[in-house]
Amino acid sequence: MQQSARPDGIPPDQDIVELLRGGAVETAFERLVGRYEHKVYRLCCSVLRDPDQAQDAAQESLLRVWKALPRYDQRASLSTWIYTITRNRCLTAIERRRIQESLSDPAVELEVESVQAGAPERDADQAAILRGLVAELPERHRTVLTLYYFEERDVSEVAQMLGAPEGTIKTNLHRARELLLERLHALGLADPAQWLERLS
Amino acid sequence: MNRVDDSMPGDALEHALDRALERHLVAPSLPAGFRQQLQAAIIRDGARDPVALSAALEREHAAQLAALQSDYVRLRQRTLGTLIGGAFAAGLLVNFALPWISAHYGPNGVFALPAIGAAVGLGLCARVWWRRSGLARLLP
Repeated sequence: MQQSARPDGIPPDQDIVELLRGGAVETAFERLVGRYEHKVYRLCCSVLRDPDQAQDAAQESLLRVWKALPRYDQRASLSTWIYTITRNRCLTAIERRRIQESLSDPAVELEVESVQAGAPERDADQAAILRGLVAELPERHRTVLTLYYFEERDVSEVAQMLGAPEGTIKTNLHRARELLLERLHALGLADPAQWLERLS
Repeated sequence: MNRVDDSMPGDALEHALDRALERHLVAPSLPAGFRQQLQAAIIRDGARDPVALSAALEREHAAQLAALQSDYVRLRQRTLGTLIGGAFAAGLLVNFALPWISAHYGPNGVFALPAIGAAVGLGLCARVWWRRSGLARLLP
């Protein structure tokens, strides 16, 4: 997937590519980190759901980018290349986590238990319920939904970060919202809209 | 940038959900010291990565080889310069010496100079050969 050109016609990250062509790998990497470190970290957070693991994965992803940068061949756009490395690193982290730990996630279980205990009145608890409902979503829906709000509703950016077509992202978003609404109704709230309004 | 259009929620409940999610799914900020940790990781990795180490050694070897070649060329140029300069100096000396020798020692005197040169050259060769052969060490 190619990133769209800027309004001035210059491809994005062209400055970094020019630096690489000139052999200034360190300067190119410095500029790349300044531009992508937040996005890489947010992608790791949305996929891994654990800040510490996300930090490790983001660090390792950027380290791999650094090591492979002299061999970057421009077959894909720089952002696509970086996000691919990051996703692969996240998948490795997930695999490692599956091996090391049981499938239970205490943080999620706690939030799910609070959901099942009934509908509390306090805002903090309501926020926990909402986060618990999001955490319970199937992985691909949860990741898309989280990243969508992290990236300030930019569907094309989310699509590029996850390496999926925009149509798929929109479908996943739609399905994620449907599932959340179904689960809100399942909580037995008298007025789910009012309940959500109190949160927002 | 493709902001949401058809993925936007339709009714009031969906709007409320959208606003609630927007408020509570806030992008996490980068942990403090992230960049410094990354720099440290790069340095650590560079120190133990055999590929990087091998590349660094190859670069060092290439630089040393280039320096050696440069010295070798410089030495050859200096030797050539010395030879040419010596030949010209010898020619100049002979140019002035021959008339003086002819005037003082007669017409056969001109053979004295090359004879002396040849004798000195042979003497130097014999000395070098004597030293290199190791025969000098056999003498008491």
